Amino acid sequence: MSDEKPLQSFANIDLFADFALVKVNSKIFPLSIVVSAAYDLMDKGYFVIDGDPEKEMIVEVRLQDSNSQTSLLELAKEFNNQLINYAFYEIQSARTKGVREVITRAALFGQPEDVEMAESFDTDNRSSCEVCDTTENGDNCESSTINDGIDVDEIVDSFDFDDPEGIAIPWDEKYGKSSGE
Amino acid sequence: MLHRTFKDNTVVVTFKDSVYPFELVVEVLNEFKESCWVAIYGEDQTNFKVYIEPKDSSANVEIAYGEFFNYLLGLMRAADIK
Repeated sequence: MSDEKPLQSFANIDLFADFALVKVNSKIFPLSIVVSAAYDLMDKGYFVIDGDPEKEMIVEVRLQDSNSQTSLLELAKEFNNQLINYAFYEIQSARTKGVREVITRAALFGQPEDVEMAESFDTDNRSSCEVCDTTENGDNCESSTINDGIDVDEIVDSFDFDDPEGIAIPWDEKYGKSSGE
Repeated sequence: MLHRTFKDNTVVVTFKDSVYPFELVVEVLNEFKESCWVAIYGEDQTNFKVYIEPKDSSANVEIAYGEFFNYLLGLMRAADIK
């Protein structure tokens, strides 16, 4: 990227007069983390990612405003700090992945005990009637049938809703003609 | 194995097939990044170097070095690493 000799070199930073080069091994920080770190600092500097994303990447760092109080060296160091920041974020995301999935399933499909049913719900084999008002044959999708024989209403009825306030009862059932009003 | 080099109020710690997991080192440095300039570089997640430099030049890097390993110890105990 540059044939000049650096003015100063330490850790993974080579400092030149107008720019700094930060070497990042992709076995330590993958490209996604490098991109996130650079994106986070793009209001302070310019970042050019070079090198091999499978081996070693070299990030060229330049100050946006040469009169700013932040020095080029500080910006390069801040980039290193951001690499740690996003690496930790990815580690935490991997650790909490299972919990997030359980919470999402519970939110979408009902109570935690219904999660087993949610897992058995094959999202890849949904019929077209689930996403549109008509089936492939042009018939109306009144019965809300998924995958031949499984009725959406049956699935919903099988959920054990906890409704102590009675707010899940439809208005028609509660105040409709049958109730005498 | 660990190797450390102190220079100009900075320290570089070399981790080579050490007992410390890479993920926990990242977690400690994430806590240190508020008060220190930190970096991880090297070959891979078992052979790497950690750079620590206090942002406040009057702070002693040897204290940061000691706190770094104590924090790491705490995380290892919490993670129940045997």
